[in-house]
Amino acid sequence: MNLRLIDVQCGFGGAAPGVREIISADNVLANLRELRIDRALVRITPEKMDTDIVLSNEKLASACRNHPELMPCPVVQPVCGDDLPDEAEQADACLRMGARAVVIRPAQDGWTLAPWMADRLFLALQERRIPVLGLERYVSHDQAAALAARYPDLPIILAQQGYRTQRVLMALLAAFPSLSLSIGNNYDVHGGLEQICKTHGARRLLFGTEFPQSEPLCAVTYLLYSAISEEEKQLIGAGNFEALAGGIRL
Amino acid sequence: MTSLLERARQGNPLNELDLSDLHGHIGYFNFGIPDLSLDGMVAAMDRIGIARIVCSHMRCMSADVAWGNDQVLLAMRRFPGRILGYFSVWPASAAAVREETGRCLAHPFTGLKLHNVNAFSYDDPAYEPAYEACARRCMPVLLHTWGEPREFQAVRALTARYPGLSFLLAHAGSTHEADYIAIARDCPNVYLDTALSASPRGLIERLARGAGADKVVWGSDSYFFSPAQQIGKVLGAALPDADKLKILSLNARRILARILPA
Repeated sequence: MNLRLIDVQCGFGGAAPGVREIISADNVLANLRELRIDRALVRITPEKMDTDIVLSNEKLASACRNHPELMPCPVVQPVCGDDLPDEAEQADACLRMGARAVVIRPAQDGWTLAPWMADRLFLALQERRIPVLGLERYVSHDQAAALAARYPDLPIILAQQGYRTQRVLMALLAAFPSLSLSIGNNYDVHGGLEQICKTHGARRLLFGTEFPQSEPLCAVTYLLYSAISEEEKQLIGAGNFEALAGGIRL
Repeated sequence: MTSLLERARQGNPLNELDLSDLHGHIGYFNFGIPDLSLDGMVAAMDRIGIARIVCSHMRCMSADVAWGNDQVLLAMRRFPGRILGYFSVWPASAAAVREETGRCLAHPFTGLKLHNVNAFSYDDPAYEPAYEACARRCMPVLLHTWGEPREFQAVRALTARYPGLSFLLAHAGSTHEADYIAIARDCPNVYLDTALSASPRGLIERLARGAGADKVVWGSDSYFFSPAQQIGKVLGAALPDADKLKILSLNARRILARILPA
């Protein structure tokens, strides 16, 4: 089966303590070619040592500029005084660079998801229908639920969900139609894709690999060897993200 | 010839490779696992082309080992040759372990699975009757490990005492990767099991290059993890297909072939 794939959980360029190797955009492109993945939504990762989102976003935009296979997923955050452009301007800047989603890292970047702090940011993103990538270590399930309740037109992609979270994920997906789930690592529960497709529909799932931290073929085999229809695999592989990205109000 | 990676990328089953999954579980566990059926397990194996899986029961992580062992036996009878069984023991005493071991080995179990979630060391004297019985039959022993020094110490002591046993260290590389590689290199009867949720990129290559591809065996940890997801880390590893075949099939075949009949 020649399944078209778009990777929504991918990145390069970051550094981590004790890790000498820095993954480049060329490494990502080589991985895409090897696994025949059409495109990737890329963010700066690992982000542990990333303390300057302006520089990182510029680096990301620059790396993606000449490679249509790479779609930037820059970082956004609430402003503190005048340290960053205001939230609406950040959202517009993301769109100008070709972003098809943004990532939030509240704990890393020193803010909280509380509405008294982040309301302007999420309203700006919601107005533009820009999908938000919520990694498990930064956005708890309760926080994802609160965001989805407050901003029902904001697409939120949950990622890096662990294999112990299926009970919660099923309830979250049932309660909040704006939530979708990337199947990239660490999401690897036995029968997980089948259960979500059957209960909530394949449109709630997106293909992701968590390259370079994780072995990217795992997500490919997880999808291809699952007991769901070819049509559902096509939706998860690429169609659902294309629909989300197509919904962005430019 | 089409590479294993390319066959995986197309989602083609790998039936002719005689794949063995040496780390499986059956039974309920408290966080949500969508499909707990044996039929579902075997259907997942069929889609990938896995010939057999060796399972213990989830309850064998507790003191309910006898009940769990009985459930494994039922699964083995339901799918003979596809679902093989590890029995387990609770170290209440050496006498209790001897009794449960004897009860289980009257049936065609394949090996022993122990989990140290009970806080007892693998070289606890109460386990000795189980090791002795398995050693007489050259059976594999699958040990849950998480890279703790006390685990390596215990396994080194056991390998010296029971050279007939094959020790499979589950979750190899979860932490202290170099120690896993060292013990597999040092001890001829120690193998590294690949089951790990995170599937770090490059781990399989490092284990295979460090310990030798002959010393790495594939385990999915299914039902916890999907075998479809867990097999990707081996099929996608930057290794020759010959090494992937050892990890997924040949090493297990060698370990299982050593088992002596009752």
